[in-house]
Amino acid sequence: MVDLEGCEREPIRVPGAIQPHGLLLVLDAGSERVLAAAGDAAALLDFHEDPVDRLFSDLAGAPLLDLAREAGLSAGQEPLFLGSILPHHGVELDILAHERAGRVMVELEPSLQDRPSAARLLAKVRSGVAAIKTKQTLEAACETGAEVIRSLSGHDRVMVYQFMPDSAGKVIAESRTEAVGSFLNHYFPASDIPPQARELYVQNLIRVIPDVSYLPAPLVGLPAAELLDMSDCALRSVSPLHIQYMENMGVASSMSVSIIVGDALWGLVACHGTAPNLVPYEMREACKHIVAFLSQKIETLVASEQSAEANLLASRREGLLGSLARSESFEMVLRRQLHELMQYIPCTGVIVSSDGILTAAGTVPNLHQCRELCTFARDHDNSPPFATHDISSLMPASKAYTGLVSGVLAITVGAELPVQILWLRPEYAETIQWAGPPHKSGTAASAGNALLTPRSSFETWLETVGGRSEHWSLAQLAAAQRLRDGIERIQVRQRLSRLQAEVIHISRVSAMGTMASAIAHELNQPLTIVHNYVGALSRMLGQNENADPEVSDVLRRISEQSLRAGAIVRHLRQLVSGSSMTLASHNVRDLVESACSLGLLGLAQLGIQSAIRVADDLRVLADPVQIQQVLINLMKNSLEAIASTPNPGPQILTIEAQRVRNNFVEISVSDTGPGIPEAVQNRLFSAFNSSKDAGLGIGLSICRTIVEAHGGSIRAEAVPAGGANFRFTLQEAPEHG
Amino acid sequence: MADPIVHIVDDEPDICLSTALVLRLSGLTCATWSSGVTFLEEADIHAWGCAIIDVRMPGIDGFATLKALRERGSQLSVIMASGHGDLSGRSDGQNASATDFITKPYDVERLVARVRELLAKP
Repeated sequence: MVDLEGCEREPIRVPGAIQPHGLLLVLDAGSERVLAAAGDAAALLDFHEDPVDRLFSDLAGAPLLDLAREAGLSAGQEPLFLGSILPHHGVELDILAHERAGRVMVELEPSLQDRPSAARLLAKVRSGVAAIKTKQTLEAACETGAEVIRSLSGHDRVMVYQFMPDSAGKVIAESRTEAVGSFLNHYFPASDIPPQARELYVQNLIRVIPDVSYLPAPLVGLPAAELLDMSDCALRSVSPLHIQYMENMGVASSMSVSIIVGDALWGLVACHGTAPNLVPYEMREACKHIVAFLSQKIETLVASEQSAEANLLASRREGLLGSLARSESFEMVLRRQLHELMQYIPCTGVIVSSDGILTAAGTVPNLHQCRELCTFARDHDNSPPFATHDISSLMPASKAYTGLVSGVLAITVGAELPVQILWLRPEYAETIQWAGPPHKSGTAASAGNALLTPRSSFETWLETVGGRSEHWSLAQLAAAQRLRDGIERIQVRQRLSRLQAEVIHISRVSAMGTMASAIAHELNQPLTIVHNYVGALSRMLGQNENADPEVSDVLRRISEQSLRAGAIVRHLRQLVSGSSMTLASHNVRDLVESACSLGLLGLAQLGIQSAIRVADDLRVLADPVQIQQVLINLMKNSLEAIASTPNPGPQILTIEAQRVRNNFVEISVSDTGPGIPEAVQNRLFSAFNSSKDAGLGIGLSICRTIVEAHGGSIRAEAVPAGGANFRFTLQEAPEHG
Repeated sequence: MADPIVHIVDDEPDICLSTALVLRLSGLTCATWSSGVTFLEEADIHAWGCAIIDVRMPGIDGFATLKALRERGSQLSVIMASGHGDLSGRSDGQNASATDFITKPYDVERLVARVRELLAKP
């Protein structure tokens, strides 16, 4: 492994030297006196004395202050172009200056030689921006950006380098001549561009090394202890390690421009030349402008890609949740949705655990290991979902299969026997499609710096990501969370329906018991009458001496059968005595509300409102299940009545309760339906109607049986304003009973 | 002395008719009432006799009728007729003042015998 830790501690801002293609003069802001200088003043300015302690105008032939005032130089700004000068025997030089801490740092460097007019350069910039603007994807925009920069700067290879979440970097686009190798899809570890460099690159947006084999020119004139901050100097000398790396790559010149997105360093446009390449000020500015536009474009594209991804995830999630919601047992359906789950969040394997059954698809470890992962994920699940790209650091047992599974994203829904979905990713290295070392051989590197090569960088990077997978993006984490919430809602809803179905079932079973006892009771009346008449007949026959013996015989048989019927009724009553009433003190409001949950099913769909006017403190002596049956029956009757005749105007079903005399509580259910036809009124409770719907209704006759068994009474009334009102009484119960 | 009267109090007409018929054929004098109210208002509740009162009636039910009867000082023997399994479940002690209980459907012969017993006492 390359030990570039030294790199982190390197003082890159205060190198104390410059690249010698230009000249650096550190001036006192007030007097223009040169405090320190670096570079070859003789060659560049034809000035053959020691520049230190001289005035700027002595060297440059122009007073600095005038130039500075014209250009508007002030402290804390970035370097300003002040103008150009043409010394006697030399090339034209650009003057750049910036002011820091009472000093003016002046850099003189060769101007653009083959100088196109400003208009032509601008035109190139404009067409470059236009070309980037039309691109719709990140890769295309970056590739175009690289091409544009290469056409401006003249380097042989221009790469767009993106920083990953852990500061490692990836080359995502490239423009190059045939002569050089490709670095596309190459990865560099975070250590290749150490933190202090990344910090500097946010402040200082462009760095150029015109000739990698330069000899640094030291800064002379400042006291030894003082380190000059040269962060904003274009001529700043760079780290020797960096130089060595370039040389090992066979690169003779370089340039890098910062890509800033959202005030942070998103990546770099990195340029390599196989020959020295000076990039003068105007060209640098043009490149900065292009890259600034590219940065904005990247920001927009990333945002729109994220939103497109979010939409895609949302629609896939709708599909998943939709099929789950429609099923009776979503756990079972979920186990068959493995393919869809793998599409939902990119992964190489998925595990679903539900009802204690594990199913999996794609690349997953063995069953036992899958269970291990599920258990671990469940134990570490908080909201948000459990996510790691480095499972072996959390769960050592997984080291055994790190190649297959390094990244895990898991959601867990429910507490006992939870539903779990785990998305798995393999080790990063498995996913890389890097073709191999891009640089040509030939540069014999000495033993010490053989390690500073792209190949070893890549290997270093591989080591840093060993046992790790690609990170889960924020969008993917959010998608997992939303899916989890969606599944939880379905779970709750299905549980609720199951409970409701159970309640209905129990209610029916108990209704059957009540029905049986009510049938038995109803039979009492006709049987009693039959018994009486049989008794009467036998007396009549007994008193008549001329009675036909056959008639007596027939009568005897009738008598036997009616006695038999009576016995059956008594027997039946004993059979269902288990479902006889359990009287206890119950809160009326509670009874009404639980009855409503079943009795008022479908209320909203029918457009009917309900009104409950029951005080909280009313209690009655009642068997709760039976009284609820009465309430449900009355409510259902009212709903049907309202639904059968569409009355204009508001349809309301009202349930009220109040105390009445003699310590009874009267409960009433009224509706705004068509009311009770007079013809039916007398027969309402006495005829034993089997209810029309096969559902919850148990018939008014049984209602009467139940109410009267409770010691109360039930009656029906027409409402003057239209509708029907059913009311029944129950004994009031003491507060605690 | 007039014959003792067996009062049959039941809201269902057929019960009244059929019970009265079989009792008359057994030589008893009957009077039928379709509600506790009319029974209390119009019957001679102080004369010697017996009443068979249906427990379950709309308006004023069997037990309320019994209670009113006793409150008015009637000494009639009262047989409460019920369709329910257990009358003794009533927690308010109202069954205390009844003389006897029968459960529908009742054995006619036993009813006749019991009524005769109750009417025999002076």
